[in-house]
Amino acid sequence: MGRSAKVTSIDAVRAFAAALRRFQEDAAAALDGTNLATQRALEWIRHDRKDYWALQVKRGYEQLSEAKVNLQRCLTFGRVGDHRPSCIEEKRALERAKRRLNLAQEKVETVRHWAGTADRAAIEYQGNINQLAGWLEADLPRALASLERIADALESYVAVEPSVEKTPELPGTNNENMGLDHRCGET
Amino acid sequence: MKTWDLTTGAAKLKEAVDSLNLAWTEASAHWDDETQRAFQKNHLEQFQPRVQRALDAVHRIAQVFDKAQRECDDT
Repeated sequence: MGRSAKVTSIDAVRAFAAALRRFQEDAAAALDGTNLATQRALEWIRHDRKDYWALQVKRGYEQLSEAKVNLQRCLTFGRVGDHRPSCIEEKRALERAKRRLNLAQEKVETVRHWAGTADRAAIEYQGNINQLAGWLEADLPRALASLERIADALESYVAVEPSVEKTPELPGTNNENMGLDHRCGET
Repeated sequence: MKTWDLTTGAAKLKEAVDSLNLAWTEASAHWDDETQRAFQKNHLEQFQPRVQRALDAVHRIAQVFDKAQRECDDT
């Protein structure tokens, strides 16, 4: 393999290092996005829904009370002689108020259930996300540093006289200095 | 009303991974030796499972939130 092939290898290493840096930024931004979305969803369940249905229960009692009063008023003042008024609308309104109150009370329990379920899901989610975030913060910089050392060592090696046949001594561990004689030893 | 969006972040993460894998394939076409293989083993192969677990976790929690939304909404 000629010397131009060595330069191509160095460029490939540098290009991949640039791609790895872009990945670091893009992946971190993506995780920020999912973390923010998760917090918003938790906030919606824990607070928005909790407050909303608590308010609906309160209103439900008020509407039920109002509906009862309206029905009683109709039954009392709608009577003409022996004729008892049907008060159909008032009875329907009372049934609607009862159903609405029941729904709101059930939703309070539903929200409580989902708040607990969502909390547990968030803990599991965060554990998995943290593993990737930890890799991005700690391991990826090490990978980048390793690439830099490899590229630097290759550049240093091709800069020496073509007659030099010694394999470059690369910094780092894990056998990442293996194989460079194959690339750089040829002149 | 839904005020969160988990799919965009997951799609961006997947896109970032795909771009990185493509860059590695391109680099490997010009850099193919023991050093390259050692780098792949020691660094790149360590993060792929973490990415997959993260994407799976996003998918799972999105399902939980979608169901919670359906059941907690006023419909």
